[in-house]
Amino acid sequence: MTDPRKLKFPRLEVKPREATRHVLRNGIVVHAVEDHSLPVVNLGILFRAGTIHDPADRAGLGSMTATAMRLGGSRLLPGDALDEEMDSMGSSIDTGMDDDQFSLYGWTLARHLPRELELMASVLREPAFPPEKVELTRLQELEMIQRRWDNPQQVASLQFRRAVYGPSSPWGRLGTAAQAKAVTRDEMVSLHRAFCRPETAIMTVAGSFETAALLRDLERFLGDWNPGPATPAPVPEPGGALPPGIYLVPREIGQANIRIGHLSIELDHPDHCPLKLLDMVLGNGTFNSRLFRDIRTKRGLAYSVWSRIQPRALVPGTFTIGCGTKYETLDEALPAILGHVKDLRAREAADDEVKLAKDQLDHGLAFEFQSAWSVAWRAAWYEYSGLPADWLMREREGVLAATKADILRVAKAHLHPDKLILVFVGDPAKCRPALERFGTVRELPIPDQSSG
Amino acid sequence: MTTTALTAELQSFADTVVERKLKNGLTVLLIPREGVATVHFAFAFGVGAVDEPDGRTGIAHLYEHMAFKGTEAVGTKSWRKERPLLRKLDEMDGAMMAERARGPAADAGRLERLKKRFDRVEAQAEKLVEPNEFDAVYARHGGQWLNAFTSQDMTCYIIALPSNRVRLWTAMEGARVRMPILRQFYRERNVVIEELRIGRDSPQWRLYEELGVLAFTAHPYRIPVVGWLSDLQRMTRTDLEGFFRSRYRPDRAVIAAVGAIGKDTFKLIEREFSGWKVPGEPARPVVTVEPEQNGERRAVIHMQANPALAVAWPIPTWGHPDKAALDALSSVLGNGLSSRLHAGLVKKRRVAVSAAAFTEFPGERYPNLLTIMAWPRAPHTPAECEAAAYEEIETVTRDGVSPREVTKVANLLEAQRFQQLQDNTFMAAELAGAQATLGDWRTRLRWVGDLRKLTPDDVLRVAREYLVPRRRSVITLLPTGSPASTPAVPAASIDPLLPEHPDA
Repeated sequence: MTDPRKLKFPRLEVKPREATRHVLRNGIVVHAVEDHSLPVVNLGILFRAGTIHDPADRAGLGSMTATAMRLGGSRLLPGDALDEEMDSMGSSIDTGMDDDQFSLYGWTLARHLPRELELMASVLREPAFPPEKVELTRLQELEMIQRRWDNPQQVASLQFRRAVYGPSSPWGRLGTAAQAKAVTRDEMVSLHRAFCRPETAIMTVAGSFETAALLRDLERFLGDWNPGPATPAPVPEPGGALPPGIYLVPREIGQANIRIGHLSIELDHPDHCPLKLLDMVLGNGTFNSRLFRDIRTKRGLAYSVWSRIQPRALVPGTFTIGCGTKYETLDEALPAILGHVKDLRAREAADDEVKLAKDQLDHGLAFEFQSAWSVAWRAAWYEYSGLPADWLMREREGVLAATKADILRVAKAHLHPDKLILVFVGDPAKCRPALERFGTVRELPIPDQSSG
Repeated sequence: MTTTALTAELQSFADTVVERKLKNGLTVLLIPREGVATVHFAFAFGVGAVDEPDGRTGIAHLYEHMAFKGTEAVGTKSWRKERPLLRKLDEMDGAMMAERARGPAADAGRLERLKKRFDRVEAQAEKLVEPNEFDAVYARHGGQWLNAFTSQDMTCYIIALPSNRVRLWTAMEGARVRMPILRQFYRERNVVIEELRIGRDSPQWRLYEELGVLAFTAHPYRIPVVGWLSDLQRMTRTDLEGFFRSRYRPDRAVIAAVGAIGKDTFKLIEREFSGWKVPGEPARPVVTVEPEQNGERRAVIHMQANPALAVAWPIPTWGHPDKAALDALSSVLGNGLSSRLHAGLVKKRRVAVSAAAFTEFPGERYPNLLTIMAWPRAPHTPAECEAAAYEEIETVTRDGVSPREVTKVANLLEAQRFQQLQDNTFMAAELAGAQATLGDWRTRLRWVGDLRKLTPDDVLRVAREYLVPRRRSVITLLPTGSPASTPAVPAASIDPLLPEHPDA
């Protein structure tokens, strides 16, 4: 029988698939990839906006505005009629606002594409914000605030985010019920008017269409939308992070949920590529990252264990390790995890683990082009984030060129065992004894969300 | 059920699927996609949690985890040296289990001695392991998304590779179905127990778990896929080997490959798998039929979470003439923002933040449930959502549905079909899974044709027949500390409908 480890294959020649870039007469950028293998079309559009720009006493305004645009429908088609028509076509339009972007995503069978584009344009250009749907948006938001802490894994992630970015900074804060109650329809209308402008729009379309016809439709529905003077809002800085240390979020559950990490680099940092390789070696990727291999496979302590170094375009990103383990093994898992962080700073990685991470990336080149949507979306995302159009290949080359010496260097420069914030969600009586051996344990209760 | 023609768009998709069958019963589906240089494999087996013997719940899923531990060649420095150690571990684990089973009479000293010896031998065995080499071999060649999932109905293994690595896949998977070695078992058993703990801390997961337990009394759909903690703690490696030998068989297996299919793709698969022998008679399929329910069942879960509601009614599955009408009914009730439950509970009455309906929980191979779920909006309660949901259902059973509504849900379900096929790995898993579970990958495509033939009367009839109070099961999730049960709230106490705004 063939030993699969001994099989050799020639290097696969991969023909890159590129999106075509188009600019509508009013400046809207469109990245398109035709793919006729199924009669469907995916689309997306990004606008420069974000919840980081919400006024201090209105956290939640941005995301509520985005929700109300869809729920309220447009002057062309009010919300309930829009819901009805979307379901009748089997199509979708979803709007949302994150920290640093407003997005609309759509999906449709190809035969309904022109109508999908028309409705998308109307939601963007002339959302109606009927008071009744503004109110519904508020009620939905209030309930989401209420339910934010239901899932222990999400509790861990949100508390970690608050801790590293500062609980009241625009990058770490969470909207409260009082703020959601205070948001008015007028505020939504002016926010929409301020951010939803063609001059910052970048669009992605992938699927079964003829590009010329697509562009004609887009010109028809969006081309006469007049741009105004672009007034980019200044990016607020994070601030007020909690001091490094151990934080316990009390919760009576069956397992301790853990997040460990600190702030990390911005997207354009020169160490981005070696750090990406470091992350792959540590815990982002295969069954053979250190954390998976040690904490899960060898010790059997966790189902979920991972690391993520996520650089961001506008502010420092995060370095995070996540894990869930039963209380009885907390005192084995925690030093083991911290040991891996320290070890990366103490000695060079082994040749075989670095090679494995690079091989997977290198021979996986074909996967960068296997989906029309991912090709088109990537092009749009790079442009939105201010990255060069050839960033994919530059980044890949950077990672493949990084050495174990680079990993050691960036580990020393960017992993800080003395600055770690450690968040544990779990039963205090069962967590404390294990945690107190590692330092002072501070409680980080779930914040009061009714006011503030 | 009559065989229905496919709609034009689904027909042109179905035309791209090449189906082959080997002499040992293994089905191979090849779906070429243009413009890609990758192949996305799904290897599905018609064995799931329903096939587990009593006292061995969770074995199908635990086996799936163990299937990544390698073979006689992959994953070890020396299988010859490893083998006797694994046997010894099994013996000691058995001895410890027997000692523990004596309860209070168990000899603590003996247990401790056994555990020490066990740990020593396990450490020796561990030294011979090449950890996660099965993954490493694929990764080295650029493999992506190596994973697997187990459901009530089936188990499916996935991986995607650069298009010129088909031979790697056949060599790896051929060995995996012929000589899997279940090494590092005792550690992996703990990993799966941690997976169970994650699930049990999640309100959503608990809602599903309790619903299965309440709605099924006899059929194995009552047991969650991950199994019961106590069964997992007592599972042995020998149990898993026996399960694998009887259940993983070519005549219950399906390979689907999606992507850059070459001239030699099928030949390579055939060469590897044609020698895979059928291991005797297939194990008996599930014969238990859930007895008819004759009274409402209710249960309450207390958790540190906001309230939720699930209500479910037993329904038949594939092969039954009412299948399409029930799926349409479910969509009329709770698929999409214009569905009756969303419009009624979220938009109009505003008692819920979200409401939905769906079929095919806990599985689709056997009769299952039409389930509605609602997440109340504070201060409204699950009881108010329940009353409101019943009113929405009553408008269907009293007044029926419109032809437009039937067409709408047929369109919606057809579109959702395509949505599930657009990712190549999903497509492979979907088609292989349908073939392994239902015996024909076209089942769900034909069903779209069945949906198109439905009339409002069909939907009305199944609503009246199936959604009856005496057959429903109701789960209420309440925050810890709230009273054990909430009184049912009469419908009249629900908030009056908010006035429509003139601008709307």
